[in-house]
Amino acid sequence: MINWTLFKQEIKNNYRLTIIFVFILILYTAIIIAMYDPQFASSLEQMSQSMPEIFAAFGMANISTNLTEFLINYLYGFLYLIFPIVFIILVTNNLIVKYVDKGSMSYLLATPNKRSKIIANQAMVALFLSFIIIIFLTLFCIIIGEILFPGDMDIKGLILVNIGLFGLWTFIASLSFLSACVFNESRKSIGISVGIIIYSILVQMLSQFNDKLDFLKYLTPLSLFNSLEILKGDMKYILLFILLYLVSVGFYFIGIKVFKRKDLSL
Amino acid sequence: MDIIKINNITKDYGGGRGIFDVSFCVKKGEIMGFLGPNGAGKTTTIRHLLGLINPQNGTATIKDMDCFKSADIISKYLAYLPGEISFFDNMSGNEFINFIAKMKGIVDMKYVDLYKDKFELDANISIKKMSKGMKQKLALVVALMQDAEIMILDEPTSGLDPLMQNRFVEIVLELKKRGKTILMSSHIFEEIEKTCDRVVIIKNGKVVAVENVDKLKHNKEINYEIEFESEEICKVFIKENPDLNAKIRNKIVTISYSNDINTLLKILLKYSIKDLNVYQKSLEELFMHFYGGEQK
Repeated sequence: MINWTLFKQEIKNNYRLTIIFVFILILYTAIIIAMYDPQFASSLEQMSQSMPEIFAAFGMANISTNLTEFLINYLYGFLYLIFPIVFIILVTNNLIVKYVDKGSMSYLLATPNKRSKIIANQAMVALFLSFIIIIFLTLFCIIIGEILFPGDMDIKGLILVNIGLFGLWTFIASLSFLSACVFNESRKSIGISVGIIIYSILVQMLSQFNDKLDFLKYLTPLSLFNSLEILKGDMKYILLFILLYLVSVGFYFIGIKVFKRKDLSL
Repeated sequence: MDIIKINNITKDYGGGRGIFDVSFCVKKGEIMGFLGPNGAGKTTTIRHLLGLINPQNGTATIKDMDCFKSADIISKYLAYLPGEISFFDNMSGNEFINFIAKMKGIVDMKYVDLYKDKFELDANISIKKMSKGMKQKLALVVALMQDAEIMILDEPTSGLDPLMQNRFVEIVLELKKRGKTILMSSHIFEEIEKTCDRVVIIKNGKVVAVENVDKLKHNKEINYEIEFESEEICKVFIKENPDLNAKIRNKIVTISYSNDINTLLKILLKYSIKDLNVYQKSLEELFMHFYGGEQK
């Protein structure tokens, strides 16, 4: 499934981009942790009470009682979703779409490796780099949280939620992978995956905006990850994020199958 | 023994594009030229051999293995030079060579140095900064470094200067001595003439002919453009030499002639000439002249 020569080369090609995204996300996380201060939290709370719909749309509807909940409220609904999505799309573009579109894929396929191995390798690189990001984020949250507000963090809960969050990222990665495997032109493969993702985000926002629109959550895959319920340890929501992992495996499987058989005009 | 076998391959892209019922074989140790105008289906045929596309009909095999299903095994014996070159442009030339060598499992790097020297390639600079000719040299080094027993070269000398084109011909002749099997497409007559044993000619997606190069050499026609001193002389010339099939345009007479040049020069000496130009017909022109009749 992995060709180490190619794997290492791709890490080399994409590590700068990964560092930039780790940096951006850590910066935002630092800002949010710094904002965790009983007084400031209450002023944010007042703000959220004055315009509950807007806050709800960005997934910040709940009043937090500890640092973990506070982070989940202000990071997991939007920032931890949007930036990783952009990262995953850029990386998938670098790893697959560009090669197929420009024709350099022919060099990779002219080596004694099965197509399925080459393409699976590229998928693993994207997942590995996303995994690096979530490891950095988790460690950063725990370390900075413990330094600034010792004992105020539900570390086990945070790790569990992050496992769920990574399920969501994996799902997005598998979706853009599938799209990259099916379509030969970058215009199409990026367009379709970005389209589906934007649709999912908008529907998710609408469903949180208003109780009457709550049914919309059944129309977006993003609602399979509910960070606050996972933090509470609700088994149903843990099973839902496991479902995200399973669907992702399915997408990867289909993507590899399609890529193995298709005509490549390289 | 036939190493490369293409049997009745059809790939119809609609609107007359694609290849239709293409068949030919390349024997072990043979250098086969692959000719045809742009858009004739050369690249589509080559893609089948590389296992990049599935034929709708027919089979393509290399060493009796199916080109699509066994592409990974075939690639151990096969080196490929793409017609349109696109690398991993964030690498330097040397990084790219080492990367592909590792991917291909090439341990012995002696051919890398040999061909880098022969093509006078400085591969130490970033691919982004390379000129078209340098990129072509890099692609050639990468294709040749494997020293594979079978090679498929798609327009190997495009973008190279005449000196390097000659050097390439020398290399192919040397590979031929060592018994390599090569299928190469080209637009340059000299290259094909000097290196190939046979040629396969494709037009509008169909094989028009598979022919020995020797036979074609004999039929080599050359265009002569002769400018006479005056229109009178011009007219006299045409009148006195009806068998030359001369065409006249603004005092300039064009003749296609394949016989001994001395005979022609002796005839021309009788007239007062201002200028004489000799054009070798392009390969496609040449071949289409012979086989075009059946097509129309």
